[in-house]
Amino acid sequence: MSTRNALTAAVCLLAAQAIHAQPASTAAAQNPAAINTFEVEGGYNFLFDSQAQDEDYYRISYLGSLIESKGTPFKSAKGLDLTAPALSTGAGDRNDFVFRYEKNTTTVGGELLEATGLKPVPFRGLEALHLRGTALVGADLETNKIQAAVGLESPPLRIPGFQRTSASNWLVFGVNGQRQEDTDSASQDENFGLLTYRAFLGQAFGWRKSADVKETAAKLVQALLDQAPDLDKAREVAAKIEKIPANQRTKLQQLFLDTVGDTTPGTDWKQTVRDIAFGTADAITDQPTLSFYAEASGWYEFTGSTHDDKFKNLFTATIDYWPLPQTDAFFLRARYERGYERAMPDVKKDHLLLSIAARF
Amino acid sequence: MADLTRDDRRRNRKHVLDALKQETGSSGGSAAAERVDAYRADPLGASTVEFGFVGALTLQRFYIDPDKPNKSERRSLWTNIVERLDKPDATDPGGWDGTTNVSQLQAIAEEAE
Repeated sequence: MSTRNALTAAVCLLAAQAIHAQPASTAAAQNPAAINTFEVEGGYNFLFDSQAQDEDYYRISYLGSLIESKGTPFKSAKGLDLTAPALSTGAGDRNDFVFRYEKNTTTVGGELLEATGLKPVPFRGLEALHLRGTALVGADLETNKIQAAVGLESPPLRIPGFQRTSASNWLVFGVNGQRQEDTDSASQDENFGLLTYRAFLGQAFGWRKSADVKETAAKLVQALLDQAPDLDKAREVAAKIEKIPANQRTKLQQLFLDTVGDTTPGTDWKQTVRDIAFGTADAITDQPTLSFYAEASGWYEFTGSTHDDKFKNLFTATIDYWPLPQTDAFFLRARYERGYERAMPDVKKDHLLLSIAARF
Repeated sequence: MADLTRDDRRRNRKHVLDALKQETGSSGGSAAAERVDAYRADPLGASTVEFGFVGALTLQRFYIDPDKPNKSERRSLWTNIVERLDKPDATDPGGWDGTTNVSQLQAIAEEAE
């Protein structure tokens, strides 16, 4: 199936979905919602480099099984991979120093290996600055260069002009010593002193309810009272749930513990259940229509640089759009990336990624 | 959990929300900000409905980007939370990301040693 056909199929499925409201069975679902049986996902990568070719991919799945696919989802589109396990940059890492491995994510189609770590470092007399120690190891397997850096970072600061807005925003500054090793030639080995920054600005708009709050709350109440019709029984169940490590509990299990914990002597157990279920339902049915976020990060080589351009940065801007009012099963993403990854300081990115995903 | 009182848990939830505010500058987006800030101002006086509401907010509502918080941001947030819980050396057991909600992260931090 060609990319054009795949995208056409996605649009047709979207049109079919548009006539259906979100079914009651998915009312309590969290964003992205919908219990899927069928998924279509595709993307196109416009490379603004005359030397490079555009890339594309698509994937069609039914009941979690892959029907047909071509290419590899872009790094930036991985959030659309709804059946995949948690993102490699997401849950599950237990170490302070973790590696990230990505393939086919750069303009040269190369491989990127990067790791970062972060630990608070108290310095006498500078405790109020709450500086954090950082570490990074990056390898460009295409050019056989390894970057290693250690340094200090500030805690998140607010971007000037956005302190009093509801936008998410932060700015982090750092100073690093970095060593570049060329595995093929010692003449390429270099030491740098770096000033770094990371900035993020994002906001979601058009908040709406993806499902009826009272219906969703009623489902939660039923689920909780099915387990424990009275407080004595609830305490028995809670004792069992508490034996499960907190990072392995489901949201419902944790909600159950919250409910028991917030029930004071003399209060009505069922009323507490109804209250906490309503608050929970009110939160999980909130869905944005549009979200915009941009991130910039860069570094300045203040010493040891052999590059003509001592300052390099990477800018990304993304728009996620959920066009259908009663379902979050379909959304579009556009992301623009321009600049340099720190692990690949000689490879410039300049591309626009368009992605589409639907699940039914 | 067994050692914590109702007030302890409510205060700890405020600590998580305060840490998220400091890390992201956000109170969960415009649809939730007023209620989150009201809870942070008076966690013990908040109703059970509000306790449930703020607990069910996912981290993604604060970080916007579904790929966040990344490793550095998670470490920064964890450090912020455990310092507020007065257990700065508590080790992050992992197993949480942008889809985790405030209540779950609070429980993970409370349990961490």
